[in-house]
Amino acid sequence: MSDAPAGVDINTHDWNRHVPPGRKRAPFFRYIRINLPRLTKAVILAVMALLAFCAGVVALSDHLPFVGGDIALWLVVALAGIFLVAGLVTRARIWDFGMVPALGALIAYLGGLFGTAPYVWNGASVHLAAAWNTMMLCGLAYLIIRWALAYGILVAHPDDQGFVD
Amino acid sequence: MLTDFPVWLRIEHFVNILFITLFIRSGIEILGTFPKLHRSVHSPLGGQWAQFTIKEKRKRKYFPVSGEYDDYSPIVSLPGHGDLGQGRYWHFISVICWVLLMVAYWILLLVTGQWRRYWPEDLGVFVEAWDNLIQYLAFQVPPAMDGYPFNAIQQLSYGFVVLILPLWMIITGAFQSPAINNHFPRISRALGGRQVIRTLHFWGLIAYVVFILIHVGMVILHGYGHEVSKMVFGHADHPVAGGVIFTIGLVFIVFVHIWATMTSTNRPRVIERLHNVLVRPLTRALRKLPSRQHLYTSDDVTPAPHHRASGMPPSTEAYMAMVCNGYEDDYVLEIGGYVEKPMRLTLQDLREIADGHSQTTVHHCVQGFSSVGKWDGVALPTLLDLVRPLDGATDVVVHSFQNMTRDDDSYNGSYYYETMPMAEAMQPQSLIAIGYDGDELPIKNGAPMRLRLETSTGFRSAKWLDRIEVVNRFDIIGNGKGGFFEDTDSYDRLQTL
Repeated sequence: MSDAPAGVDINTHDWNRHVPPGRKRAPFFRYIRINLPRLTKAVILAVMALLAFCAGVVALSDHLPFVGGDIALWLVVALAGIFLVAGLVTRARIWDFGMVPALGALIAYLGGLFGTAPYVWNGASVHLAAAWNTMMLCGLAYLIIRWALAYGILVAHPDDQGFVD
Repeated sequence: MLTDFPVWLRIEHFVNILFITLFIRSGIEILGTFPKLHRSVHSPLGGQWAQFTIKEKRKRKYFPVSGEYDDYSPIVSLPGHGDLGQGRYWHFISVICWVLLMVAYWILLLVTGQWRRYWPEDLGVFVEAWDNLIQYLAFQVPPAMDGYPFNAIQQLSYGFVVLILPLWMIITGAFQSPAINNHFPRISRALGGRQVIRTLHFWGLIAYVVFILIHVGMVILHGYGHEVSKMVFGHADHPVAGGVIFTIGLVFIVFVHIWATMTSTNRPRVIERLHNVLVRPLTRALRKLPSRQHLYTSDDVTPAPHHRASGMPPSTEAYMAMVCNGYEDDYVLEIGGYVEKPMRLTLQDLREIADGHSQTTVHHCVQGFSSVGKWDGVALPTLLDLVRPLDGATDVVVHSFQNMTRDDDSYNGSYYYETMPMAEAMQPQSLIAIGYDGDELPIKNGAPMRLRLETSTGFRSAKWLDRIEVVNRFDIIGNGKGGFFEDTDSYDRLQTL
């Protein structure tokens, strides 16, 4: 959290957070703060569930992205599964851990670019290609959500924005 | 026929770009003056589900809501810098122009049969739209449906944006009007109340922004020149010429935005005059919708300390002395001017006249917050009947103890005052409030006496009243525009929207 500028009595004066020295306004995304912690956590879990599902679909297919791709993808599924269980039954702040399956999915996707990724033009079905790309998009979405949590735009249960005014 | 792009459809597409972008920028300006989205009609401190501000309010010293606005950049808001009045002018100018053009468009869609381009023939379109989504996710471009210029998912999204989203925005926008909201309180309540309606309007903004991002992305994906030339010529035979002409059109729109921003900033009265020509017929008509708020009960009332307020109370020793003495022996309301029988009334006199009268109404601040107040007092028509305005009396002026330069840390100027036409003063829920929910008025809400005008935004319900004056013209009072904010800033006296 940005501290009040030196010399400002926060009891009697308003102050603006996150304004860099010499500037008039804060960076754009500092202006956005959403306080829907349970919904945010639900979205995070849904993204991770979709990531796991899509990774599993590709792992079960006969069009693996690279040699050993099934092992990599099942590892992603397992890590995502741990994340989901922890998210559903605990109040633990598992968002850093969630980066592991998310980055794992993205690394597997990159690996597929150098291998035989299941794209339509590589002979894969439309649905398999869609699952493969959706896995990547979910990984990206998780990274963006994780950044938004760290930046203060979002909060996930059990945290709260702590608005008082 | 549905694969054609008639000239009126192409014109509407271009005009939509202009007005939707004006809506978005001016809407962000309006949002920025109370940049907190609530669910509860009481707008409780800290109760917002989202906020769009970097401002932290002081922890101990009282702050009015007027100090909660944020200074947005003119790049994202029109005109920027927290200029709510000009933002509202642009928003309402766009409302009038865009709604008229939208109605014309719907009529043309209907009479030409072109409405079928946006209406799914059967439920199979939804299944096909799902298949289209899968194809896009597979990085494939789905083909257009037979007999249509676009695929199924495009048809559904265009149908949503052309038919459903405008209605959503019109309804949620209209029910943020104090005149409409307070004339139809049951509908307002069914929609969730003032703050839920504001939130729903905000989600409409998000829907438009998401649509624009995806739409522009798809145009680029399908070939910029190829696609935009359909909106220029009605066909894709000349993609280069179409792309150039369309881009020139976009540059023109950017220039309109720059002109709008600079004119609002440097010559605000120009926009005020444009607003008065285009919007006042509507706001004048809305005055014919008196407040009919009879359904709110004690359970709906915002507890006295939490009824939000803008503006700072008078800081004179005389006012402080009245506060300390409880107003009974020191306060006298003078009602005079263009009347047969001028009067001086103490609070006890007013309580006898009021005889227990009260009303529970929603306060709609022009900034966007709301609260529900139970106001005890005398109906203004009753007071006016006592003093008997003379023939030719046209307006009622209320003067406040509040001096803006002396008392307020957000505004500068002279004493606060407001005027209202006799028709508004005589509305059944126009009230002189002397109490709140069985107790005295809180200081921040206007003690010992305030006005309640339930068809207008809240700043016209002046607080800390000193005297009431009936007049036959208001243009010789103050700067002649009918009130403090009307004189000093870009606020119309007609505040029914």
